[in-house]
Amino acid sequence: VSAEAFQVDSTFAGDSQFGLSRAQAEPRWSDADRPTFDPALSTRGPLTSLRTVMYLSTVAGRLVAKSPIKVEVSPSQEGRFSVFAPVLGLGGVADTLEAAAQDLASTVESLWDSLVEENPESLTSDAILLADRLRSTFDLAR
Amino acid sequence: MRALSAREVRDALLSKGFFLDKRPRDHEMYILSVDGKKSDFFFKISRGAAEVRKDEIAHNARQIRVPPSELFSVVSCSYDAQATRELHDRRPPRSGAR
Repeated sequence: VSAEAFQVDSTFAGDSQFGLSRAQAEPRWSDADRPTFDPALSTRGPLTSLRTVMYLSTVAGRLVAKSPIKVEVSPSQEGRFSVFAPVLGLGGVADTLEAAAQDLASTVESLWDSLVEENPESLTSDAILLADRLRSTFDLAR
Repeated sequence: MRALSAREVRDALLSKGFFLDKRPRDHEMYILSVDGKKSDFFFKISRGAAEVRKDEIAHNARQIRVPPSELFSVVSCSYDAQATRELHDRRPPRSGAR
């Protein structure tokens, strides 16, 4: 997964949101990494949410999100970073926010190659729905 | 629920109808085959990981819309292939608003 898969800019967009954009040259994960997650907080829902543009690489080509994707950030049950993109129903978990985001990105890449590039007749109905969701969220530049 | 060895999880998945997507990645993606078709019921393991942590099981469960305790039953071998298939079949439909 490319290091630029997710990039965060320093624009503070609201009480619990950070602005994210491709325009910023340097990722600023420290902005969102700052909270120390207490597992006890996990029952209170997402601590913050991000909007990010994703740039991903698949076997078929390069994926670019058609619009910024909302990503919820919350502590995992082990106090690590968990991210979840409701529009995709997919997420990631890891020791750092950046690694969790990359976990999400790699899941999207894998599922694109496995499902979107597959003949729909070889997919279950739920897999077709997920493939359609991915196809409607990302543009593929071959 | 507890952490499980990655080997134990791999063996459990492969014995219950999952297949390994062999594309080179930094992780292993196991996808359940349902009536010969690829499903959206998957489990991801970091390549080279010695164990699968509790929060990874919970995270995988959220993505496939099943309770973590039930996915733990799949990967810890409490559920057989039939119980795994039944878990797949009774999941809520995929949702997600833009």
